[in-house]
Amino acid sequence: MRHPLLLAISAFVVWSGAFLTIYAVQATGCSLDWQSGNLGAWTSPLRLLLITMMVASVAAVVVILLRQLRPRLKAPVSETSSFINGVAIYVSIAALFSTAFCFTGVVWLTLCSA
Amino acid sequence: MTDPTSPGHDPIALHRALDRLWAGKPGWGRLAAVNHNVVGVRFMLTALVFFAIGGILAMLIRTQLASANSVFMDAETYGQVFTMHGTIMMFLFAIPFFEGMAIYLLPKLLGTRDLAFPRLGAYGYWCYLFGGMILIGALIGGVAPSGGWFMYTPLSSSVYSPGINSDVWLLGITFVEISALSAAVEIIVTIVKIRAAGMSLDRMPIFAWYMLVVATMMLVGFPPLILGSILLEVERAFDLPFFDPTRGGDPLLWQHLFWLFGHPEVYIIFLPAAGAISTILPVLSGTPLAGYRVIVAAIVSMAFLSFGLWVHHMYTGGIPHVALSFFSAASALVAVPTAVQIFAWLATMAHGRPRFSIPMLHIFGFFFVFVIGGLTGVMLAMVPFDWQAHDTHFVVAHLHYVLVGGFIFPMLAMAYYWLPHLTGKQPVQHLSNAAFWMIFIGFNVTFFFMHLTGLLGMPRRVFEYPTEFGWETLNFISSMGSFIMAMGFALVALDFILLFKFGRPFRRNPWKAGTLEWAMPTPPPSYNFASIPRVNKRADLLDPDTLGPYLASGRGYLGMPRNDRMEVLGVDPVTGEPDQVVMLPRQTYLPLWTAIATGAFFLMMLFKLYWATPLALISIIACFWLWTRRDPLPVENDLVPIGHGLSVPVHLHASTPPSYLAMVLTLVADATLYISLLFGCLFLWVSAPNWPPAGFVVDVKLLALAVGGVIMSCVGGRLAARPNGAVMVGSALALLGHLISTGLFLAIALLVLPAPSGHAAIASVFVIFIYAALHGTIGAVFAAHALWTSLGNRKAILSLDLRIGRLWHDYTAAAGICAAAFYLALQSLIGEGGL
Repeated sequence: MRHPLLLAISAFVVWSGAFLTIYAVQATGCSLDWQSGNLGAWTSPLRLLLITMMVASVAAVVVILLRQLRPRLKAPVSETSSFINGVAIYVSIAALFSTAFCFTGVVWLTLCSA
Repeated sequence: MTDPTSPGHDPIALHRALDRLWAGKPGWGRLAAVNHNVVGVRFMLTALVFFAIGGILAMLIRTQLASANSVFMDAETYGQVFTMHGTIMMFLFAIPFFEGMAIYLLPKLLGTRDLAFPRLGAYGYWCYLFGGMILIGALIGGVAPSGGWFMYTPLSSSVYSPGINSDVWLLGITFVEISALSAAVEIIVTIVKIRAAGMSLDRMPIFAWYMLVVATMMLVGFPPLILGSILLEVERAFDLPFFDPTRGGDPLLWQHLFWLFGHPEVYIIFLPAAGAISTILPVLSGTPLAGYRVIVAAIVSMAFLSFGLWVHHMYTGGIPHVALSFFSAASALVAVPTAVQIFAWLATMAHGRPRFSIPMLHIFGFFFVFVIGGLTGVMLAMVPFDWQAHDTHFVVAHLHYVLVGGFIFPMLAMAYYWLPHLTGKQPVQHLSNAAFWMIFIGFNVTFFFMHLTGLLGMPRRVFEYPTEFGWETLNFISSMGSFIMAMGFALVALDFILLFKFGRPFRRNPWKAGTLEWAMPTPPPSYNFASIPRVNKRADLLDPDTLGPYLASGRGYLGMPRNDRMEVLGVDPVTGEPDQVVMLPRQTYLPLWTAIATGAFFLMMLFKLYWATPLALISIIACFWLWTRRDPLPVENDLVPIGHGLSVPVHLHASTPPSYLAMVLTLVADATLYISLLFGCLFLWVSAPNWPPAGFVVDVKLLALAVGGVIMSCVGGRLAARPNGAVMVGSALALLGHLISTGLFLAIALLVLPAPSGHAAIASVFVIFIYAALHGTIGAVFAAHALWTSLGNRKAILSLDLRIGRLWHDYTAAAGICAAAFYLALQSLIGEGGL
């Protein structure tokens, strides 16, 4: 069990990274006027980029959660492992919901106007 | 050294021997105390003094606002009073109080004798005391900060606040925050490494989980505030325009940095109180805590989410809709893990038979008040509502419901619960009930009506209001309520005095708790446990009544003083199995002297004696250098016995000693500050007006040489730290690399760059290069220390120093490379334009 506490929080680390990156890209994109282009069916390259980042971050959290769920199918190594794995799964579920919920605004809200 | 299992073993002799080693000295020797019992109590008592001062200021505020057009205070005095009320309550009372509580309680709950770094705790306390005294001195002298506890720019800039008032806040608070960061490092390392044998992560007392999360939040939450304070002070003192929009700065940068600290701060204050409730409530309900695992997951989730809310204080700041949605969603989400804890506590009470004692009464107060505060918090998280209520008294009411509900009521619950432990006496409780009801009723009368005042449109921070607005009656009711509440707190103080004077003595464990702090005599001896326990189940389900006498007779671990050393067990962070013996330092005046030197630096900055600050810095470095001196007694190279047939190495030879972990954590805090600085400077490029600046160029060859220097120091540090490595050659290489890089970064910043006062872009590059140079200077001290020590041929001890030094050299190399890359990236972005 290498760095089990760090593994337990990995899903929320992804959420934090996604939060900073999406916020920074949104601000930078508005500054560089990426919102006003036209990319086929998409009204703006910035929106496409932000949606891609949101989907990628949700996918990353799902992957982490699936990896944490896998050991539950086997016999737990110890009470401590089982405890940390259980906490990790709860934390990852919370992170998954948070990631999906926090960033959905990139799909429909105005990107650069206050 | 006597084997505790031998027939000749005498427990009384053991206690005397331990007391001689661990107890503090009388008279002036008290200033040398580093023991966690002493430092923890000092923190709490000092915080309560500041609480009383902050409370008196609150009464002045309510007196002023009780009637329309009041002439009780003028605008400037009122500004100082409300600024100091907020500043004292947040920085000098709430955080230090729970730091003190954690410092006092954690070793006991974890089944050990002291914290990992007793001297660091004492140093933190002195910094807190001296920083607080600077602030209170300024208040008495009439030069207290007056721009609000949040110090928004441009109001706090030198143009609009030309005196030293704002400098007092910026420097005083930064000084105080040293104690918060030192406490964070100390608490994390202690929880991770210094526990009872067998106390695996799943057996830790729930309070330790709370404090582990809180300390980690402090570690990454405080650096943005410290950075913001440094940048604003640098702007005020040297005219570097980080927050001046006419020269490429942006006042919003301050708000981002402040609230990036300020919102997690609310949870940093709430979570220790919640940890105390999670400890007390099951005891008073006579049943184990429901949902231990879910609560751990909830507090971890809450910690992360709390860092995604900071912009909800800036909804009206002109931020795009989509960005507002990120923060609004996170603000609403954070209510979920809070609710998980509330329901777990309700389930605990439902499963047990709650005893309606005084602590429980205060827990009831917490439930009632905090839940209302939480609900108004969810209302304010919604952008449309916040736009209506922003900067009104509704927000003042909300924040007091959250903070008083989330901290004051739990604080009183824990005071009534643990005072018997601290004093060895049980309260007589003639006044306790009346005091509670006066505080509870007074509080709700004060702040419930403030919601209404706010909804009627009364703004915060105004010192007077006209009669015709219809706010006077509600304000008068609020003021009456506040005086009832103040009388309630006075009764609590009287109740505690009565307890100290006339409290009833009791036998061990008056609450029938299952936690380890009751498995010791009360009041506790300086060493807590005569021997360290082994824990075989969760540490809140133990039997202190049986365990206490067993440990007191020295039959646990380390029940045998050895070579006049103060020893505790170091354990594997996950399994809790002993993996080292940690030798703690004895009482010393060094923390006091170091804090005095640190205070001298801040005072010289405050009074603009900049020429003298290098002297103070050299004094600080010299004091810390003295900390590295070790006990002249020889240290065993082999394993040492700890009892029960186990032998482990001394921490100097262990793979992960506490000091190594502490350096990792220090660098995490440092990196958070640096990342905030880099992001902050990029934020200016994105958002600030008057960009791009007129061109400024640095010779890339100089930068490449500086980067070469930091890489050389990194290679040198690694060479020296290798097993059987070339210590002298590696350390010399590291020293040379640091001297080269520091010299070059300083030369570029001071001689090559145009005047940094010209534009925020130049100021950004200037500060980043100074940061790199500062780290190079400290790296040079590390390398010089390694060289010095290797000349003394203390190779065995040196390996730990070298590993710690290597961490610093590596970080400095990364910081130097980032500094150079930042300059190149900024030049490229400026070339791109974009604005």
